Amino acid sequence: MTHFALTRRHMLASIGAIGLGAAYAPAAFACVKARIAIVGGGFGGATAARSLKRLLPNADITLIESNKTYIACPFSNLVISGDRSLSAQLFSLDALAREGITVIQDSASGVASNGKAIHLTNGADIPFDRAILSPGIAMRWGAIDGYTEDAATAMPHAWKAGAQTARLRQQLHAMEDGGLVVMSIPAAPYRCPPGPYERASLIAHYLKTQKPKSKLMLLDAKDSFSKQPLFMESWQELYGDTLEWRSASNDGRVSRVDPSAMTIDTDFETFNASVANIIPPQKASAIAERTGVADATGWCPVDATSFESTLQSGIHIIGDASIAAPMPKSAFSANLQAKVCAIQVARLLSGLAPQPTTLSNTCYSYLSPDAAISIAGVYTNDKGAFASVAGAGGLSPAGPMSDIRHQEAREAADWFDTITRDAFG
Amino acid sequence: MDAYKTEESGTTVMHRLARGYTDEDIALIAAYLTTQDINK
Repeated sequence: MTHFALTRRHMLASIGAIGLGAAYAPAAFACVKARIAIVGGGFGGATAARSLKRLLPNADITLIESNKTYIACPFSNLVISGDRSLSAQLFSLDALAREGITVIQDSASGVASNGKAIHLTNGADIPFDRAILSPGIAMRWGAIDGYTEDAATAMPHAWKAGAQTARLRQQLHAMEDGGLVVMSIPAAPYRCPPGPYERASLIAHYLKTQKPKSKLMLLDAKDSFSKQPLFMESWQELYGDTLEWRSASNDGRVSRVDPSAMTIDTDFETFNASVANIIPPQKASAIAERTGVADATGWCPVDATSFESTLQSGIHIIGDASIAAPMPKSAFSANLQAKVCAIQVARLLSGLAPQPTTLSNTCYSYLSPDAAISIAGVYTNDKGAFASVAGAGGLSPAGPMSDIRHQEAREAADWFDTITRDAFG
Repeated sequence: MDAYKTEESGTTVMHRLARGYTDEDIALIAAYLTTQDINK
């Protein structure tokens, strides 16, 4: 590891602190003995818990997560293509418990009628002065006709990492050469905007190198997508006829699936798939609706400065469940939103007003197991609204395969190590 | 950070991110980094 790489990592990690340095009020923070309940132990929830423990050492911080081990979605496309072990995606919350955070392994079933306690499935109540929900996503079962929860066995979504990831990997591995792999990709907004196209790239790489008579068909409910020029350029260069993308206006939108027949229908065509990966439309996880913080879109509107719900006071929402566009639903966004939200919660509990900050996002996407591209953005959140900073952010440079792509693959791996250490210790 | 901000292009995302931060933001990052153990 070069000294430069360490410096860059520290810069990336510390960007979350920008705009906050001058706002710190450690003396007031040390007096805060409030109770804070956090729902969800992923990139958002774990980061929020650890950040709040540092900011408010005397507060009572409880993290509620139903799974003993968190399974990370970023890099799970490499598991699907056989280029990474699922065990590399597992993160324990034990470090949080060692830091003095109360970690409860249960699921939150709702919020008390006074709005000041989280109900757990086991019947207990976790009272709070402020709550942070980082519950992630739920699938909209039935939004594609025939795509029920049961259908996800034969046609995995693999859009939550874990058993679904392993299942899709196993199905690809078991497929005979010459098979047709079909992916269905939803309209925005959904978790990880460039994720389906990274997955397509890595599956195409697997087919091209291991099962060269096979084909990958991408059926898309959109006409354009994140990093599109870079993906399409590389698909042509690396995978040629192995991969075909159908846009919505080219009959790409999937209207119906039949998991027993393994058929996928668009408006005018039926595909017989050997392997089908259906990524359905999504919404905020069920707890958001039961807490009254989700609106008619299924997602959670927030005040951009504080991440406090605009529908329920005292409850903040971060990560994929929140409406934070133009910030994408990504692990990077969730991690940074958690840090900013933690500061604002600490300020509110200290009698200080939330203060505008600068936020950012970076999403890396692999084109092949040793090449990647990225998209970056910088955002403001003053006056309660999110906005992109003009002139900042953007895509990796265009052009054929080069050392730039290999360098970005190494940076992506550094990013994963940094963010998972930041979130989970 | 200043170098990242003023360079026209480069491989890493730092160039693209740095352009979104004001000189004051960058001074804050620098001040923050001096409080961190770089070898941690």
